[in-house]
Amino acid sequence: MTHPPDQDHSPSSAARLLVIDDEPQIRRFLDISLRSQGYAVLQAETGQTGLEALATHGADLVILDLGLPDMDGHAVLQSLRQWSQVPVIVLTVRADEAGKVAALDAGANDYVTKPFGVQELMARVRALLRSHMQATDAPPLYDDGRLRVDLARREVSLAGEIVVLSRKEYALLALLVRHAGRVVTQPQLLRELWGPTHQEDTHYLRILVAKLRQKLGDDAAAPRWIATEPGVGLRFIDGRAGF
Amino acid sequence: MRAMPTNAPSAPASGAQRPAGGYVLAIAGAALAVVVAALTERWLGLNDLSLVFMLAVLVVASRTHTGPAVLTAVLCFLAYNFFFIAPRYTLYISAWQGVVTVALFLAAALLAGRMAATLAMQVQALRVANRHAQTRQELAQRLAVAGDEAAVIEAAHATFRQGLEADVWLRLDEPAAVANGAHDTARETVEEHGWWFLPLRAPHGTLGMIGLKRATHAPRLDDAQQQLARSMADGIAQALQRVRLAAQLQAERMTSETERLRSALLSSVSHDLRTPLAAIIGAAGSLDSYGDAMAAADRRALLATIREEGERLDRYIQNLLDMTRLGHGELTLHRDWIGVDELIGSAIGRLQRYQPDTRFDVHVSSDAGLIWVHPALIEQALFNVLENAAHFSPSDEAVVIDARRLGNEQLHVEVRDRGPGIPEDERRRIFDMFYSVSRGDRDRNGTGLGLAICRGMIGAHGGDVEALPNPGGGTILRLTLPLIEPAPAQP
Repeated sequence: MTHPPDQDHSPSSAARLLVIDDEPQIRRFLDISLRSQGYAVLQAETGQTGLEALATHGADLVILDLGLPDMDGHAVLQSLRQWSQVPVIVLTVRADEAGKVAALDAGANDYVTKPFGVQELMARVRALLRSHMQATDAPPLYDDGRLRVDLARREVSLAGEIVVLSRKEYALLALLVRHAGRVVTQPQLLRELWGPTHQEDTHYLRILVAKLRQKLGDDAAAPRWIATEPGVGLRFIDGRAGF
Repeated sequence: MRAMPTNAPSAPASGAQRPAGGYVLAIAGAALAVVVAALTERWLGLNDLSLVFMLAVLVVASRTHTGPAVLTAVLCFLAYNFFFIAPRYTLYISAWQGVVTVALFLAAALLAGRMAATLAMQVQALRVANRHAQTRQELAQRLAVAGDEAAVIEAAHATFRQGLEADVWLRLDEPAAVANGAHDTARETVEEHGWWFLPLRAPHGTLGMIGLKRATHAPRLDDAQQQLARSMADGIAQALQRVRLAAQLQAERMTSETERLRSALLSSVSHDLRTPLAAIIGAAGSLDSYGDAMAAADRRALLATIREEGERLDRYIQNLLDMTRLGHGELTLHRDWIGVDELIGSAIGRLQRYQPDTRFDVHVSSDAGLIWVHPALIEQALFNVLENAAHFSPSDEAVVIDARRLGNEQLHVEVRDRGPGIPEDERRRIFDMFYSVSRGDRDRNGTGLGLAICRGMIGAHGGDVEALPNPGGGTILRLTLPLIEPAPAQP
């Protein structure tokens, strides 16, 4: 694996998705659905063939089942991350928050819980592809018509009014917005906001989230922007058209 | 045929009347009588002096038994004769009177000695009987509170050791062996090394054997002690029967409960897995065969059926998994701080994903704040309660969620619906596993697991769930969680 296979794709060309799942029914339904949305789809049945396909043909995004017969999905993720930065969505089962967090911390970019609706998956795929392409050249700006977060000018406004945030509140919001539509795990939040030595300070994190929600007029019981995924982390709900 | 231990004639254990002591007393009594007679001779006549010696004979006889009594009588006669009857200091008796005196002395001695011995034996027997009765009573008391076989055996050991100074060995036959009639255990036997074996008799055979061995220094058991041992063995056998019967009843109750759960599970699995599968297979088949001829709206309806029924299957399987996790005690809590409002938001979000029309009216009091729980489990518990409320609530009524603190100790989350309500006698039972199934409720979402799982998950956090009537109609499900905080943070 000497040649990193990530290839440059202009946004106009069809993004290429690699599906690694041992269940033929799942692969078939993903293949049909993803192609209907204009994506090119590669399929792999095992972790090993998946890694080979990625090395040989490359892909813009990988959908990886964590429960594979030949090797643990976590192992696939680990070896993949040694040479590729391709965005990865993992398919997990419910009641396994620890497994989700582990996969996300091992380099997965997002997860979908099986069984999942195809719309949910498509939203994740779009969010990931967009942010991955934005990472280089897109303007660091979020604006859904009500909430506007200007990452370049470090400015947040709500319905045209500037919202004054503390340094930490802004850092949290910026982190979430940069991952708009995707989950950010609690360990990641703690690491980015307080540094690697404060993994236990979940109490501060919850208070910070509550304050930020309050300033944005968001309600945790019916979130418009910041949703909690219990045991996993936070997800910024992308309210822009097309998301 | 009954082999009995060959016991030596019993000698009373407590001993004022050892033979040697008795004869010493006889000599001392006679000597004392001589002294008293010599001192009182001046005032008493010769005939009255004989009464002093008679008194000595009676006193010795009453304190000892026949042997010393006779000795005293002989000694007293000789002394009386030698010292007091003329001619003095000879043993010559001149008159009839002397012969009569000898006869009287002997008769008094024999009579009094016998009476005294009888009295002593009666006292002794009374004492033994009293002690045995105490032992019996003690055993009865211990057995009365013995709840299981081990306690009965323990009581047997303690009482035999204390009451009979005997080591106890107990063998209990398996109930099956009793039914077959273990003949060899039905008789009393004496084996070598002083072990005496008694059967534990029950109406239908024996329950086992009890072996007794007295401590090496102690004499063997006498008749009364054997009798006591037998009656104690019977008492133990009765107690054993009682605890066995109780255990059997308990086991039968458990078996029937397990049996009930198993059949409920089977009927639930076959019903709740098959119904959605039937709908999915049917809808997919219809689309496959006749989809071309259908109106677009009909096709969409069938497709929606497939998706909804699939989601229902998923929830059902999740319930079964949760139930198994709870049932196996594999639930380890990973507590973390989380906002009550965040948990409610997540549960509502998940529910509305497949029931978009359900409306919720959420009131989280500002002090509800953060709780330290296993977030995903409490969220699942909330989800199950919300699903239940949404299911029973009329479609035009919102489900009300109200979360607030009760002092510094508890959090209450109430979920109120305007459904049909639950009769009072069923309010506790709705949290039983498969309750709705055993009720025969073939309702769409009535797997009868959701609330049981909710109770299990809340219970794992030390909390409780209860159903209350909602004033104005419907039900309130109230989740109570104790507010626990982590131990002070490590540096």
